[in-house]
Formats: sequence, structure tokens, C-alpha cells
Amino acid sequence: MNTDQIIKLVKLLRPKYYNILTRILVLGGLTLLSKPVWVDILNIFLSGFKFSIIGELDWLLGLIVIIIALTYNTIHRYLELKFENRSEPAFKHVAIKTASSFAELCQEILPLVKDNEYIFKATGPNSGSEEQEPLRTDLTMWEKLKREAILPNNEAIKKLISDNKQTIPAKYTDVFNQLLLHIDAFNEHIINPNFDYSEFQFPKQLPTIILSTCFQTAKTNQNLIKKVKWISTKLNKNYVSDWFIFGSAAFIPDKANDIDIAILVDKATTDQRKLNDNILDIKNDFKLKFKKDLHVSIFDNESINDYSQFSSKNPLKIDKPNG
Amino acid sequence: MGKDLHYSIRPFIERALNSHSAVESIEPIALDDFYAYKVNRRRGMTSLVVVLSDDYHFGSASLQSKPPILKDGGFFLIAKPEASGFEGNEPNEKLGIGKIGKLLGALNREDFWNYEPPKKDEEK
Repeated sequence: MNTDQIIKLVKLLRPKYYNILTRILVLGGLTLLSKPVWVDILNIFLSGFKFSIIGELDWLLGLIVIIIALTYNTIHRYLELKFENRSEPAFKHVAIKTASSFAELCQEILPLVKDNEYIFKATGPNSGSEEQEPLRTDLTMWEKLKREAILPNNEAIKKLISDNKQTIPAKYTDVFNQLLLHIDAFNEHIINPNFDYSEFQFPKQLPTIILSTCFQTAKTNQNLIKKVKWISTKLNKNYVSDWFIFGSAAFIPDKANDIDIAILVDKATTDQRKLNDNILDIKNDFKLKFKKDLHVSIFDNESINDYSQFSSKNPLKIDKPNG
Repeated sequence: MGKDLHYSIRPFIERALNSHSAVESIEPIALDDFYAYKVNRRRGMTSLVVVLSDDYHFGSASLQSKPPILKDGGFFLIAKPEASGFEGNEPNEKLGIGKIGKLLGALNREDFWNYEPPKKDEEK
């Protein structure tokens, strides 16, 4: 048993602090199980006090309730751990070697390109003039991830493209060839930092081609359509004015680790505590039903401009169904 | 709330904290729904709890969902570089809120919950 398995076992046995149902049931079960003790104590003050649900076998009922509660909790925890959203370099999740279509090829390449882009934006050199974040001077993580993630991601992209050249439409051949040149030059730069790869820039048209191809395919994905319908029925229309699905689920619904959803709520009519409870319930139900996390970004009507900006930043998204 | 963070984010934050001149050490805190650290500081300053928010937009709902570990104060770190939203503080709760740049500045002060980063113009 390795460390990860031990951690999982400990997590499995520890009831989640918010699992109110488990607590109520266990408390109820313990009350029935310990009935003879507390009835005797109560009778010191209230003579003749009696309490019974099924008579002599109340203790057995208590025991059964406790077993049911703990079983429920364990199943819940198991499902949560089994489908835990673990972020890892994208090359570890390349599923296919031979794509049946250009769309399928794009859906394999997208997580690799996105992973590289995220690493660059989160840890790479920034100019400081246009960025809101301060100038990054410590680039240790960037140097580390270039070797450990970007390099193998690039190799996976190259392999996918060379194995599936026949699926690439003629009008995009040049762009994909530019990508291969960029990858080779960048990889050379990693090995030899003096190598100047500025002549071989990442082709700017590529993200648009890949994203729009993936999006067109995702829109007709039956699993995603089911999820959209389910979310639509669960969100309380009294206070949720608008919502949309964005991020990886809108492009690669079957491969996405989770579903990202942005919702706009009417703060004037919303009890924040109730809303949070409602969202938490929906997230738990979603995880049980679809075995994926629902990741909710909540905007209240004081942040309506932020919501509009966020919506504009995600032009390819799955909007809430009309009606 | 959750742990939906790209795998590069936590090592990046850990490295930034460990390299900070005011930080003696950091200890991960095991929570079900958040990544969190106890940050032990030098120069006689108290330690503080830093909890990572995975929200794309940090708003009032994010604040409402803060974990109980922040009830006595701490820093709610907006961990996603691309996240938008509120970056003020909650001084009454001794709670600082912001991205990594703000946290690194706040760590130099005992009253970290009152720290506001200098505006771009002031820096020049």
C-alpha cells in the first residue's frame, strides 16, 4: 500500500464536516441505541417517562440507522475520491493514436495546447507593462515545467499530427506545419537556451481553428446536452438570471475533468446562504449523477459588468437553453 | 469552492512563499474542499493561514463560502492568475484577500489584513 492509498483510506473513513444527513442519522441511531441509559436519567426528574418506536427492539433500529448512515457516507466519500479531479500534464491523458476525423484530432490536441498556454501564462516570463501581476523574476517553475510538461506535451502533439495528417483539411496544412516547426524550434531552445526560436513563432491562427472545430462538435455532444438540460432544471430560476457553460467542457465534453459554469444571480432577491446551500446540493447531485465536478462561478448583480466581461472573454460557450 | 487548480499553481505559490524573506516555513493544511497552508513568519511576526480559492470570479458568494479555518482571520488567496473580482480586505475579520502579488506584499506586515498593494503609478 503506497502513500496515496493510505491517504485515500484515511479520507474515506473521515466523514465530511458538512455531511449533515450523516450526523443527524448517526445521532438519531445513537439516541435509540442508548435509550435505556437516558430514559433512566430522565426518570430521575420525570417519573414515569416512557419512549418507544418499535418497543424492545429500539436498540436494533438504532444500530441499523447508524449502519445505513455510515454506509451512505462511505459510498459518498468513495465516489468523491474515485472521481477526484486531479490536474496533471495533458500528455498523460492522450487517449487516441488514430483519429477518425479532423474534429477528433483537434479534441486530442486542444488539452495539450491549453496546458502549454496555461503554464506560460501562470509561470512564464511576463512583460510587467501590460500585466496586472508584478514582473516575474523567479522563473524556476517555468524552466522546470518547460522540461517536465511542455516538452512531452509537444512530443505528443507532434505524434498526433504526424499519425493523423490525412484528417487535416488542405486549407489548414500550412498552419499545422508551422506548429510542427515551432515545436521543433522550441524543443531545441529548451535543450540549448542560446538557440533563438523567434523565427518560428507559435501560429496565431491555430487556437481559433482548433477551438472552433472542437466547439462545433461539442455542441452536438449528447452527454453535454443531457448535462445542460439537467442543470437547467436544477438552477432556481427565481434568482438565477443567466448562466453559461465555458472552459474545457464546451470544447471537449467527454475529456473535460469538470464542467465550468458561470451564473448571474439577482442579489436583491437572493438569500446568499440559501443560494450557497442550493449550489452545494446541485454540485453534490451532479457529481453523483455524472461522476464529474460542477465548478460554479457566481456573479451577483453588483458584478454584472464583470459577468459581461467574463462572457465576452469566453465567446465560444454553451448558453442556457431558452424557455 | 474546490480544488480545481492547474497543477502548476500550487508549486508556484509554494516556491514564492518559501523564497519570501519574511517566511520561516510553510505547512500544508489538509482540508476537504480547499488547499491551504499555515505560513510561519520570521521577525517575531505571527503565523497566518492561507487558503486557496479556485474561483474564476471572486465575489460575495466566494466570501460566504470561506472555510471555517479562516474564522479567526487569514488570507484568502485568489489562486487562479486569470481570476477576476474583489481584491479588497475584510479588516474586521482580519482577512486579507487577493492574488499572489498582494499576499507576498502583505506577508511583510503583522496586520497583513490592512495591506493594499501600491498602485502602478505610485510604483514609478
